Amino acid sequence: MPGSVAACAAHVSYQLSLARPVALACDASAEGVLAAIGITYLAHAREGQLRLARAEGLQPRIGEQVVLAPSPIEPETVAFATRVLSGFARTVTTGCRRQRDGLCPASCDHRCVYRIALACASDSPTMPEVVHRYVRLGFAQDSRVRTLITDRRVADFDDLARHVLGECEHTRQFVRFSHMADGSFAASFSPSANTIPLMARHFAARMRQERFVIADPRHRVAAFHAEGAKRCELARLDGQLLKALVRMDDLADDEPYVRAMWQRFYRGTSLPGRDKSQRGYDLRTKWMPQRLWDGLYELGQDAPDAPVPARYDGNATDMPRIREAAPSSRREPPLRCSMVSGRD
Amino acid sequence: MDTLAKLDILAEAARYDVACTSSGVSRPAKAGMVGNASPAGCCHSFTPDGRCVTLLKVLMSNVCSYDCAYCVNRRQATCARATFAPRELAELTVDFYKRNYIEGLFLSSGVLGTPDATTERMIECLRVLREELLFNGYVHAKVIPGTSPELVDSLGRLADRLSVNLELPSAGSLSRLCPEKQRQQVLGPMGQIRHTRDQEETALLASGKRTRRRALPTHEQEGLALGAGANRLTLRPRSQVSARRRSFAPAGQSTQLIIGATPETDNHILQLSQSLYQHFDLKRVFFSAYMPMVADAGLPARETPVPLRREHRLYQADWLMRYYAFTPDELATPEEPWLDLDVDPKLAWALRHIDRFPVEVMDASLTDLLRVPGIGPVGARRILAARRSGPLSFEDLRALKVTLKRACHFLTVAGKRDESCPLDVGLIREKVIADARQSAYNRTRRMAEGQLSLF
Repeated sequence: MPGSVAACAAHVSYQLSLARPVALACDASAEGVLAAIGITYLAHAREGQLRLARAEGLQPRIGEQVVLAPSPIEPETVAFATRVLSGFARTVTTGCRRQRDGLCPASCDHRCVYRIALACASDSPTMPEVVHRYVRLGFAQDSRVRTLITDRRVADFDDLARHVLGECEHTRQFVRFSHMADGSFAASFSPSANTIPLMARHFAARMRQERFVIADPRHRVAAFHAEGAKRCELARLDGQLLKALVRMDDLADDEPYVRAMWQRFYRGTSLPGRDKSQRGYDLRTKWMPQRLWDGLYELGQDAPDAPVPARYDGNATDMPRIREAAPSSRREPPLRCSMVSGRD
Repeated sequence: MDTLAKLDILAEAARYDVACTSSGVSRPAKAGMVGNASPAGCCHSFTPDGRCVTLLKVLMSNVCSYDCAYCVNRRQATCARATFAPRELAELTVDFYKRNYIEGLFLSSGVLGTPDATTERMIECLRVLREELLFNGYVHAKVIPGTSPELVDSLGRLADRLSVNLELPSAGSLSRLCPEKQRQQVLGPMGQIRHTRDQEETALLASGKRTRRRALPTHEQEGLALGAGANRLTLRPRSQVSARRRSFAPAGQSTQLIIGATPETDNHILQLSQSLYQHFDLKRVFFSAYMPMVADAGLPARETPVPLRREHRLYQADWLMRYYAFTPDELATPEEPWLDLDVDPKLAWALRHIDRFPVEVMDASLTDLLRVPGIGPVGARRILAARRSGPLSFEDLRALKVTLKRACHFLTVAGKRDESCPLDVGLIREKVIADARQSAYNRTRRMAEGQLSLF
């Protein structure tokens, strides 16, 4: 048993033996929450005897004892969280018809487990406790938990996962890359859930041949991709590196012109007679939340006049190919960060 | 003229084509290639009027030899003209794609000389895109009516989806407003696309390779999924061969009809759509509310409001046909051939058939649940999944995200009616219609459309 995990469990157990209410403060990552849930079992706590809460911004209730769960930066905490997750997966797939028929995971892709990753990416203050109650229900009810969709604990958990799923879609939709002077691409995006680790693989597939980085200043996370790689490397960032990544002040020469074309294209596609005043409600805002508009060049101010790259100057017959124009052979390996926390 | 100036002209010229989906095909990323394609597609932006921007939708050229009365690019129109060079457009597509602005290219064109000459130019653009720039993303190409079959075939090998615009809902309207187009020039390529896809499917099934799709999950299993997965929830039979295995138009074909420029009724349009789905295996029929931009004796006057609500109701009716197994005559009957603009078609149907309600949630079939206003394909499947665990209540239905405001009048749950729901059929009808008419959408559109009838 990892020392810090065992010590934490012992501390929780001691507090519970004194009949004190306990708040177990954990890191708001999947590893942090799952490790904390495992600790509640080690401490023989019953549901309702303690609550899980985000360590960041925790407000203890009157008389509540706060116990800090071990950090997921420690490898033993991650290993313990992995044990909890595999135990949960084993339990909820026991008796599962798909498992019995040999269809899992090929058919359902372990969705019952993937939901935990989704829910843990939520920014909701109640996320650790909602996941805690769901995981406990799963251990108690095994595969039946999948069908208890009207149970409050499952419904709350599904709401979190569904919200994150929606935010993943926003990430797919509204991340905007900029072409940098060194030939790489960079994007800054601030979703309302920690979706970059979940969506990094999507962008790695879409941009397989490119070197790129996506930074999320809100969650202090970035995904780095090397040319040709199937996956991204994920890193938690410190303030300085984050600022440098988000600033993006070293754009490629063609970037302003391409942005101007995108803006012009966007404005050209709008049809008259169908806007908010004609419809009674704002359909665009419904699909494109205003909190994300800052990063969308098509909605920004008019782009200043930009120099025309050779391939777009109208002499189309002898234009160079894009891949030849980009310095692909001179690309450097991706940036690495000392605080790499895991993979997507 | 630089590309920015051309884009200005050719994006605006293409905006009347409403189709802008990037769905229907799954193509994984490949080493050395740019991009991939996902079955659900992705909307990367939304125009001020709320339409999705998923593809770089442009014309190859807005120079046109045809003189269709409703078209802003018609031969006689006095507007700026431009034409993309094939490579120029291909480069632009890749540049936008790499910045995550789009999922791919939607390529249409005015008739640049002849349909064949235009299509050859489009094919060259797609060839550069696919073979030289190694673009692996989504391409939707428009077939110009009158194009030779061999060129349609070449186009279909490079594009994911093809579409041939029917434009007007009857042969009479087409010959009146588009004198150079004949109905057969539109239906011919549609038939060819269907035939080629069928041939490929037969060959793939006969080849014995792993082409068959995985068995569909049961409705209960679908109800346990988090997302909507709407494409899976249709009741129509689906192809036995996965789109991924196909080489010719793997995402199928679609078409577009202009609504409100000619006098055809909603019943006529829905019958036509149904027929197109059945005969040509279309994935979508798009409706485009006519915007009076051109003065012509055969068209509605310039000040006529855009029939936005009619377009909306037709889309709803189309959805009901594809996902809920409604027939056109159930939605707009031959006796009452126009859809009710104030009430959505499903609610209107339910009110006309109130004797079929209430439906008991605990033992209703999927098709019966799908007929209840406020219950959609996802909600119906969630109910099927949830009721296996025990009796449900109205509170449970709320947890399943069923829209009870509408559904409560048409349901019993374990034998009980909702307390807030009137028992009298007349009162239900009155309340439901009053609620629908008071919506911001209906109020705004009534003011915009006034009392003008379409014809």
